[in-house]
Amino acid sequence: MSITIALAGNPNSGKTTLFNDLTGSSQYVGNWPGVTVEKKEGRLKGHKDVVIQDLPGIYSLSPYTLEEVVARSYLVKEKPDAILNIVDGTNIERNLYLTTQLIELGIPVVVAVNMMDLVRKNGDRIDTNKLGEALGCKVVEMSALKGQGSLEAAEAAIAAAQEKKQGEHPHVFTGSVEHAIAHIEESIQGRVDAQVLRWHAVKLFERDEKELQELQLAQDLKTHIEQHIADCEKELDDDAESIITNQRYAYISRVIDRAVKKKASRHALSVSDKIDRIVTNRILALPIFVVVMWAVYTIAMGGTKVSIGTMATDWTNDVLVSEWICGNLGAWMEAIGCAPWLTGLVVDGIVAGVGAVIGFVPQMLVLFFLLAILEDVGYMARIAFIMDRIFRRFGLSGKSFIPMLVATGCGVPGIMASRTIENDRDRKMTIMTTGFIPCGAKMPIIGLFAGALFGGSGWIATSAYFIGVGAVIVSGIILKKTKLFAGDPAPFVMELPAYHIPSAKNVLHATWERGWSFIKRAGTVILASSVVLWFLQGFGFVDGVFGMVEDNNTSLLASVGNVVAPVFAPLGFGTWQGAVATFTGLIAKENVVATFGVLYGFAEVAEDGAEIWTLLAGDFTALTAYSFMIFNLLCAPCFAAIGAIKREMNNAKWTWIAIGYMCGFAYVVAMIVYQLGMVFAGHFGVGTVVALLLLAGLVYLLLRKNKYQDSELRVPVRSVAAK
Amino acid sequence: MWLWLSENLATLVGALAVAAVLALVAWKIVRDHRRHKGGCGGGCGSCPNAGFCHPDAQSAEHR
Repeated sequence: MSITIALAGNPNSGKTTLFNDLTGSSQYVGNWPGVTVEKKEGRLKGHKDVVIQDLPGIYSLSPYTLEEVVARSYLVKEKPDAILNIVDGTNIERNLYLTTQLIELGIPVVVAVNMMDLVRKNGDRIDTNKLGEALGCKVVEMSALKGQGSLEAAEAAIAAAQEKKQGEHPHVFTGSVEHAIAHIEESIQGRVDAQVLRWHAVKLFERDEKELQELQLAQDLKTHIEQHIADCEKELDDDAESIITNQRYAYISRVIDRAVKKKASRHALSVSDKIDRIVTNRILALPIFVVVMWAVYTIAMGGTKVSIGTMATDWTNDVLVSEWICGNLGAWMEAIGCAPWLTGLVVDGIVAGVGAVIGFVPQMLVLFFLLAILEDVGYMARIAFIMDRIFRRFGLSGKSFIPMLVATGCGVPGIMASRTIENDRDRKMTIMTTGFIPCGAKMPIIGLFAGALFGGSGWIATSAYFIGVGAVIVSGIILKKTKLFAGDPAPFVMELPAYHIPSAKNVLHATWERGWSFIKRAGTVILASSVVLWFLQGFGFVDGVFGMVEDNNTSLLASVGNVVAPVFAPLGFGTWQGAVATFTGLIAKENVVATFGVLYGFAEVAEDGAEIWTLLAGDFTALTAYSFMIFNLLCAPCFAAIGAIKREMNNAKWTWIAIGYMCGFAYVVAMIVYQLGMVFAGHFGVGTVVALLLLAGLVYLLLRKNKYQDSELRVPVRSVAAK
Repeated sequence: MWLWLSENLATLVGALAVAAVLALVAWKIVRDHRRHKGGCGGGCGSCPNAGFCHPDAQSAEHR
């Protein structure tokens, strides 16, 4: 018979690491909450009949967040055979709050105290026997990250499931509360499953809205229950929800006193606290963030001696692709007698297009590696915390920044991560703005222009990142002042995990996943696009006859591109090449680079020795290149991300609003940058006036009074009103 | 005929090889599209929300 074991615990308690360890799955564990709202299932290694269910990280079984709703619904309705409750041993007091609720579910519970290696390192002691006695269930020790005790914990859960023995309900509440709960249990007996009777009774005592909604009790029964709750509230002089919360913590405190011995005093600062005093400092946090991101982008994509990514990319472009592959392949094909058109298709089409993108793989791998380290070390969670402070000032929620952190890898999961935002308006706004953050596929565009026109300056990539963040903030301010998005920002609660040495396995896995996915796309979508582009730029009508053209300015692609190009003239890149590259970027953003590779003949070395970067520098100035880069970073994302927007918005109108807004915003910003930049070059014209008007409009939208903002602070008053 | 074939053998073999690669690429793109896979640059294996895109495939993957 099959046994189902649910893994439940607080965010960052090590659940997913344990899940991976037990099932052999390889889901990457981010160091922030809120990206997982689904339950994942896997079979225990070596036990085909044991199903492990990974639930989202939760702090309680109250339906405050989407994660808590998902986990609670599963535990109450689907009733697993046992619950393996992962408890962070370094934060045991807060973690046991959920444990006290899980025990009430009437399902066999095994508590696995995780991070015991850290507990011991801190000089603390947890007596698992005493803890088990107090909680009325088995307690085991483990260290998920080191793979110690994982299997023992799973086996204990299997044994508990086979015994079907529910733990004794510990004495969490005082007499008057137990009295009220007993009356509620009596009132609802027969209406709910006897196994979860106590849990339902406690929830009704708390006046849990979701519970009241689901049970659909008759009015006279509700009045009867309410009388018992009100009597208890009067006796204890507090509201029901607070009574339960306080008594749970009081109980936990008694358990801790009995079973846990801390070396340091409760108020002593840990190493993480000391680091956070500087890293999340009100004044220093932002400059440190800028310096960290600058260092990351400089090492990955800069032009300095420490820019490992650029050095590797230069070698890949100049030696591997240009000399070894293109040079030798072209000569070899000619030597064996291949027709010139076939040599052109392979060398100038496929190799030039794919090679232009592949050349940036080393830079991307270094970037992903560094970002994965920051993530694993715990710094990215601090960035969310820092950004929450900034976002909140502008009426945005820090919760919106989590999808943006995810989007640095790829926009699609970033957009999907927005579904954890409960507030519909905030969620829609996050979906609309997440695409502004430069994803991995946009990195080659930045790398190409930084190398071709800015001497490989690390500041170009850093500025691209902060332009993305700036676009999110500016959009947030503007949109929050409109009727569609007005309202208070959603509350954002997140735990800052302790800093720790990054795990090589985690970092390399995240780097490889992202990098390999990029390489695969180069070998499929980019390859196919390059062939189509090669055909369109190599063939056309000359004197009314269709055939191969010598000059690609007379090609089919140039004819189409020239029709669209004037639209981009006010942004400084009104050439057909620029227009075509912008549109091919919709297939995949790295396709912009592949397009330039095909159009400028990446494989060919010009007579003067110039290759793609020099040729590109001939058609773009630093200003037009920067304007092109900004437009392509902020405009509509690739089709895959547009699909994700459509899925998440679940509405065609909203999808078009999102795409329209992104394109419009990108156009305005790129035009302002280009036209005002031209003023410094001594040019003043109609475009400058339009750009100044657009800038004035943008400033007005930013500074105008928010007529939809409440002047009063809104506080949930449900429990107060119930008194 | 044979003379033409022998003169253009390299081109024919090369063109067939390119056509085979393109057919393989097209097949892979269509297959991935049908499986709702591959659109995302992040790699579905590491995505905590992968189950939303293809719940059946993901569930099978873990088993």
